[in-house]
Amino acid sequence: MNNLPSHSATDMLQVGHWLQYSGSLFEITAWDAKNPLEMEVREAGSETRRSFTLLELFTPDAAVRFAPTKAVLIAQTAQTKTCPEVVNAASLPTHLLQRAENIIATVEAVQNGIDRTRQRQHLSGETFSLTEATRQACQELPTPISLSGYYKYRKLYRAHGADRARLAAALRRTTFGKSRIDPNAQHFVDTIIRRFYRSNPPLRAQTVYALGQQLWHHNRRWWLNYQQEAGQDCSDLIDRLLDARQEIDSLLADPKQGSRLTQIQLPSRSWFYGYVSWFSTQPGEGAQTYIARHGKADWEANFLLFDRFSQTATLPLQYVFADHYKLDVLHVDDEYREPLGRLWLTALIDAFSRTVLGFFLAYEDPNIESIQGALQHAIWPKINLETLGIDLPWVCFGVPQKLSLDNAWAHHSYSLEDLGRSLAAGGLYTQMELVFRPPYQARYGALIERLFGNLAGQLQERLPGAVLKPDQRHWHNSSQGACLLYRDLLRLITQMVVDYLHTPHRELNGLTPHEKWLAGLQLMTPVPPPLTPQLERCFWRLHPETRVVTQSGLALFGLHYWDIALAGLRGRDRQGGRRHFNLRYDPADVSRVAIFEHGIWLGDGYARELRLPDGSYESASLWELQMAKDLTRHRTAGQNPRPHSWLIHLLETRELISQRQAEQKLIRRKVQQLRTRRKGRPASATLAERQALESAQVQETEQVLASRLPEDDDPRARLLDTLKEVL
Amino acid sequence: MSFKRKPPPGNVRRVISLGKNFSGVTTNKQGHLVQFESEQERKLILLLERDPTVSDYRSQPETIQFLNAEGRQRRYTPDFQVWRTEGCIEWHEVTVASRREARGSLQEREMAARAVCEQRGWCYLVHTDETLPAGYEYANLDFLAAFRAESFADTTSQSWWLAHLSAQDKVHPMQVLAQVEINREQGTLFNSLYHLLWYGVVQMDWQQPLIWCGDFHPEARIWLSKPLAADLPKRSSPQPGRPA
Repeated sequence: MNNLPSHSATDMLQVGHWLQYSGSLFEITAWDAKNPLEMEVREAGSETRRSFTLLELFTPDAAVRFAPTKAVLIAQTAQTKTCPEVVNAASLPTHLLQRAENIIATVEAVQNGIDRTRQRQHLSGETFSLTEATRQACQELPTPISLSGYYKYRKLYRAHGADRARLAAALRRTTFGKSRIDPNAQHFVDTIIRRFYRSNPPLRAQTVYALGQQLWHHNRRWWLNYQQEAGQDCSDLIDRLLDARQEIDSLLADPKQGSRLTQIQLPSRSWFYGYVSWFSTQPGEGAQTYIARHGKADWEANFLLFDRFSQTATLPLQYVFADHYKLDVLHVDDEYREPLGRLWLTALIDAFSRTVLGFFLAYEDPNIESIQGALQHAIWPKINLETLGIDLPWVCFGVPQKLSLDNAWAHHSYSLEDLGRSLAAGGLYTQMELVFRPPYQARYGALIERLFGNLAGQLQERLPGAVLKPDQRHWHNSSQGACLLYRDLLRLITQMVVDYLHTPHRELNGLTPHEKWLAGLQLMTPVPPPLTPQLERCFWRLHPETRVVTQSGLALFGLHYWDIALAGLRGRDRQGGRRHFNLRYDPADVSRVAIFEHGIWLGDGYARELRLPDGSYESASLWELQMAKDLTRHRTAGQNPRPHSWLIHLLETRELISQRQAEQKLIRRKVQQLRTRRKGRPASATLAERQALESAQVQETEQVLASRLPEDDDPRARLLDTLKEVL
Repeated sequence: MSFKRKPPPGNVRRVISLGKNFSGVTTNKQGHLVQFESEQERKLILLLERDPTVSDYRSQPETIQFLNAEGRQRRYTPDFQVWRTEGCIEWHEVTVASRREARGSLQEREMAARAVCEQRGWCYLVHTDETLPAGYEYANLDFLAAFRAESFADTTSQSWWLAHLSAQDKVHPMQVLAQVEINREQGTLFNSLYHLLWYGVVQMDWQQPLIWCGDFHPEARIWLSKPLAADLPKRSSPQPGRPA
């Protein structure tokens, strides 16, 4: 694109022509083509004459410029000075280079289009309109662009001489590589960190900041003008500025030294601490600082392993990362289609292949069920994809060797620890390690966080109930748009994950995560443990305390769990002591618990208080049970009543909730009807009228509910009968 | 991290992360939960797992109290307690060499622990970052540790490897496969190979990488440990990174 014209020596070396050599201008006074190796010149502005050999002028290092006149030579020099530096395309991100290529291709295509139109109209004798031709050419592009967009592209194209690398470099954000802090203040901070933070013995960041503050005050805010002195050796001056025994006045009195100084602002303490932390984690000098302070072993232990885990992950399942993410989408309940809020997604990603091993979608904030549910989904093959209408395969499964977790409460639970132990089955299967990432260092979870970022973007694009960023909220109202059920979201997330697995990944050299996983399977095969009833129960939540058998069974949550098959548990252990049992339960249904002793499942116990006359058990969640207990305590002034009392309240609570939901639905419908009827009219209902209307509606609802519930179907009566039998 | 939790059974202390180190918990060869407080401690766990003379080990086993040079009372919990098959009991401490030299308090607690061990007839061992495996040796240990579980010990595949390696010297794993027609799943075969490597039935150079970027390293070589080939269950072998 930028080919320079070639000239022969005869063209350039003519008497009266000019040349520039070592920054000086010379006029050629004598040169003979028969003796071409030597010529005589006269320096501009003087009568000094000298001679050059061509070897001197055409060495690779010499930057010699020739021109027919002095003016042209000066103009050429000025033009060269304004040319930007050559940009190395390899150092630029691929997406910027692609954008630059796109701009170049677009501008050139439009210009070709304009030329074609001009020729066509010239031949046909029509009047040529450049703007119209440009607009037409813009619209003929494969991806049409606006006229203003084209002008913007053309400006960039011309400014950077259609050079792809320069254009790509110009596309960086304007603040790229710039610090918010003044460069001179930044230099001051860097200097004190190098001098004092890396000292032996090491100083704390607080102390270093205090030292910096004292120096700043001592020098009365004066520091080296780094921007002005860049590239020059200022070590003496810096040493002088750091010497607190000498006053700044002597430096300021010296005009030469004084001109090298400038006033700076001291950064805030919090900024400084953050900067020191960042500095320590950087490779290069930051790494040296860290090693000097904490030793090489600490550096390797804390940074090297996890910084390179994606490179050092040799096979699938070696490093698996887990985290939680609150979905940016509202969903509705099955019955009333009311917005319910946002679900939490827990996902596990394999570092080697970047495949998602499994996930779990929960109503609640991250908890034990979230991580254990995701783990359960990850360990065994996914066999129900067809029921969700997904035809692409999801073949990833297996027990992770190292499961990297953040420091959430649930991840530090006894339940998860015990689950890892149970999965190992005494050394028969993979002994999973739970590795906790250092707190407040989010970069260790970068892989999984990036996956969540991608998912969030897709959800916002695709779903009507998506929660948008503040500047996008005019697109739609999330709560009004929410229409998806839990099962819909589950299907959508599964679909997104499977799509992701079959999308080429830049960091896998263009392979999809699915292909990378299959490549990894050439060198190993995951062997998950069989999903036995015992192992299935190991994924329930473990109660942290052990229990002993009492006369009424095993007591938990104020209920008594027992089963006829558990009769053998009443005996004592070999030493004659009482046996202690671990209980695992499902918080969504506490009518049943799994009983373990030394990690071995002994059977299930059922809540005797929840047994119904037909022998089945009333299913109740832990949440319902707690609420019933709280309500009862509230009514009985804080005293704990007998279990049957709050069990009745459990059923009463359920009734109350269903009644209130029915009322809510009815009232909303009525209000909607009123709004429709009175559309366009001013609201005329007074407070008293509205209250009367609401009370009438409540009364109507109660009547409807009463008509639905037969008298002999009262669950309280049935429960009391059962309790009499049990207690 | 200011919350307090009880440690796992058999541990007197819950390990913590002070913001720089990473901690974790795993299951040992006897099915007990063991904790680690740093990468170096995890290296020692891998060594103990591979050492056939170790019958069991626990982390954070006991806290002792002692008086330091200034007469102040101090507490110290060794990192691991190890039970050997021959009946010997040991305490193991993992530390950083430079820190150990620089801090007098570490030497004081080591002296106190040694005194307690001598009193009980136990041994006290200190491991540092200089004595524990690093580089390729650790990478190999880390990778092969996943295959120590018995489920990877497919008897037919193990016999296959033993049969095909018996007549050969040091050979690249893929070369063994290239010489014969495989009528079984390749992944299962390799699972068994890793299992045999972990237990030392098949040997390798631990200072060379075995797997690199999802494939066998070109320099990787395996060979049969002749005296052990006929005695598979014993599973004793030269140990990488033995403590100093």
